Amino acid sequence: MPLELTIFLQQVTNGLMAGAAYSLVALGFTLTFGVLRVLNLAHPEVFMVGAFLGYLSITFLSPNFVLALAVSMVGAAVLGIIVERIALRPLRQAEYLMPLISTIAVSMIMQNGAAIAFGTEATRFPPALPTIFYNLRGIQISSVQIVIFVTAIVLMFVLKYYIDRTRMGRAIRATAEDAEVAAFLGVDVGMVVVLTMAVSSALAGAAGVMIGSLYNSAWPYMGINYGLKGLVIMIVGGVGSMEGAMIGGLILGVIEALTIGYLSSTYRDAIAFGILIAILLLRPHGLFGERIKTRAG
Amino acid sequence: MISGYWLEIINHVGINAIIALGLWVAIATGQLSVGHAAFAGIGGYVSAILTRDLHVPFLLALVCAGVVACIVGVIVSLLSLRLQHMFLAVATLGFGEAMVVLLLNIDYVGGIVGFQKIPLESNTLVIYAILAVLVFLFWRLENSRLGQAFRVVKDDEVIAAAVGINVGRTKVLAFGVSTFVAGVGGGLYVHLIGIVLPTDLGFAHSLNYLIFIVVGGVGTFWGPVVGSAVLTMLPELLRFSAQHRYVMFGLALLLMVVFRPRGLLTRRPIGAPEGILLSRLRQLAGLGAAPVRPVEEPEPRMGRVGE
Repeated sequence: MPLELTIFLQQVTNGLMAGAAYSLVALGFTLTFGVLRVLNLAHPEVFMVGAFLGYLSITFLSPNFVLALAVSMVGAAVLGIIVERIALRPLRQAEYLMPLISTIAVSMIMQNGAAIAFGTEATRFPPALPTIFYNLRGIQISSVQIVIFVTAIVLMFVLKYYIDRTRMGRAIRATAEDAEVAAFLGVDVGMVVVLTMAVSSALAGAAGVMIGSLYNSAWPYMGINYGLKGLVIMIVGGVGSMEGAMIGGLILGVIEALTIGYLSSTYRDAIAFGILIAILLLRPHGLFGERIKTRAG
Repeated sequence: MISGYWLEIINHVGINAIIALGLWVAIATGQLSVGHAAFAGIGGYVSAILTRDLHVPFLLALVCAGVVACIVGVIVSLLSLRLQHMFLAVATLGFGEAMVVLLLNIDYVGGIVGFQKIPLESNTLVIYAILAVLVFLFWRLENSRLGQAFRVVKDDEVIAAAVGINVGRTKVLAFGVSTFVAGVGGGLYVHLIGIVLPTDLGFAHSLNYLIFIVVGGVGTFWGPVVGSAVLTMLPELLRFSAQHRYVMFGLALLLMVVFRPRGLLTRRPIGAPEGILLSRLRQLAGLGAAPVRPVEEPEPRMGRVGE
């Protein structure tokens, strides 16, 4: 294979791996926003806590990736439920930016709580996966990357199946479309809300463990970067659209990797944002979004 | 008199209040800007270049800062008129981040080490004089037809257009004013601390101003002022506990939001009677009765149309 193509495909591959993690975070954002109509800025911190839970599991329980994943997902889900209870439920009817600020407050508490508990430096993530490098026609992939990518895709498909094909999934979709009408028709909206928070937090926790394994470190402030990108992906992919979040995350990962590879890492964020804004200007509702009804209907 | 430390804090409160008021004007028309620190930053850089390198008098530099920020703001606003709410927020967010990267890469303004050695021209008098002027102007605005137009545009653009408000013009006007004020605030800020960094224009700072406004209360212009005061001083008051202060700040913020979901200050709706405290204060000041607003709607009359 010609060198240029190899380099290109290598970048694309790296991008897809990172993108899968972005997708998981973005999915969580989309789910919570779709159902709760709230932008949950504590979500990236749940991602970060997930990474630390994975670290703790690997260090103190057993260096087993699957176990770490399970521990982190359960722990993150519980955390998400607590956050909903104390920071979101009391603000159900509040002024439209208040729940956002509430989640910001929670994220502040979590970030700095983690900094106090684990220190402000990065904590080395013990390896829980054997690291083998494969060489595919010149493209290097590590076993860690493969495991992470596959896990992410599997999680996404499980989620999609759950939302599309099960009764509870239908309840979630109904609540996302119109909570009042859903309640009218007998959906237990409270339960749906709790479930949504649990599921999206679990996804974030999983993503946290994955990124921790990928970069071998967990850091109290790792959530900020992923949070910002997850947010933008959610919007560009189309608010409330799961496909949009999934594909948008992969796209962002690839764009970033290509920018770093071919241009320079300084411009990575600017170009990524620029392209995303360009997409928004062309399709104001995002790639897969539907028309959001304005208040005037 | 007041120790230097508290004076610095008072100055910062004043500047944050000014920039928050600026952002508030945009939010008052429903335009959620999450990149306003960038406009303040543009004002900061412009005024700094003017005073440090071109020896322009401070106040004139401030005005120029405001004007430049306003022009950029108007352009951004015109480009994003199509975008609603969430999307406008992302666009302004992107704009802010783009500005940061832009400034990081321009060597003339210092790049990553920022623009330094800015003459320290800001002082409490200037800051609070400008703040007082703004408060007065906004007080007049709140009770004026333009202020009402803003509120209608915020609530429902379709109805605003239906009652004859030129929504596009109103929004761009509000955004222009808001960025002008932010630019002036930015100018004051850089002349207070003597240096401006590209990262000062970032998302984190923009979010700060947003929090000041929402926690203080979006409905009235006093909201951003009070919010800035409380939330600028709170971390300082918590300084005794170095490590835990951010956690405590987060906790305090959470409590404020959960217990006052509409903000620390709320606007009295049209027709609602004044509270006891306010009417007592009004009596004491000898201002007479509150302006009467129609409380009773005319009774709908039963009967055939035209009777």
